[in-house]
Amino acid sequence: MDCKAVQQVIFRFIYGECDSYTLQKVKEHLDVCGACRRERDIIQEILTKLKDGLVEEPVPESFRQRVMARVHAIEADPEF
Amino acid sequence: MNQMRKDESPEKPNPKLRISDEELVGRLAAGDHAAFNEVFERYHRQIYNFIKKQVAERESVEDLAQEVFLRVFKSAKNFDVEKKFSSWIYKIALNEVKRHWKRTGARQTFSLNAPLGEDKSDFERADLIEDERILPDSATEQALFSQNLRTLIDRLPEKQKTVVLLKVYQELTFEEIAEICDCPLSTVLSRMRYAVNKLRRWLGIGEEAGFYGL
Repeated sequence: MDCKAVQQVIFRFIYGECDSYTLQKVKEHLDVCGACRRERDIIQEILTKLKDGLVEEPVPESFRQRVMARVHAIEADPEF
Repeated sequence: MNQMRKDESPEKPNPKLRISDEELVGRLAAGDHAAFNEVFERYHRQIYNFIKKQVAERESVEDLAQEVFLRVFKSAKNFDVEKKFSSWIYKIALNEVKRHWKRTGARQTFSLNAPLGEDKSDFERADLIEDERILPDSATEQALFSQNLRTLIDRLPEKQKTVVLLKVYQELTFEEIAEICDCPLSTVLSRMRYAVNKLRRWLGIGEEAGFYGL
């Protein structure tokens, strides 16, 4: 596997979505290619910053109440 | 970074005892309305936050998220049990958001900046993103970083932004995202690559030209 081929699958590799054959080939390439290792590290850094940068916000309790009220209304009158 | 993969649901005490999402929706379709509570419990945080990252006003977020769950409740019989429920519900959510954008004429959640294209302006980071100030090292800076990051994500072209949100924050597989977006896997991967390309430049990470053209 060459650098261009690694580039095509790098995101799937990072997220653990490659098949075992591709996974092994990418690993073998990364073992010998410093440029690709650096690209992988940079992409991982970006993805980590993205992930850590926005936290999941709590859902207002009123949301559950709203939805369940509507569902109960539909149950009571399917034409609602 | 295989650790980026997630468990399928926030609450997962024992997978062996936990019925699948698809089976749950099958029960709902068969008239077991109590199954809806479990569907809601498993997905309401994810769906709410997915919409929240795309729509600014809290009331609109709640309205849209509510509509998603009502559609699940009313359309459970239409769900193809051979497919993944997570893909189905995110597809419903994405369509609700698109309808909202169409109705309101607004796409951004946070800023009014137009998405940047591939031209030279792409290389000009947002005014408020300057050099390493984007990198957080305190609670205040973390808040500022989050605010700025949201602005940058808003600047991505719509389809690239959708892929980033579904991958990075909702932690779906690329295959699932392809199904939700009705496009080939290769297209999803390209959108991801272009999005990360832009964010790399805007965030100032790896300043030199990327080996992969990123």
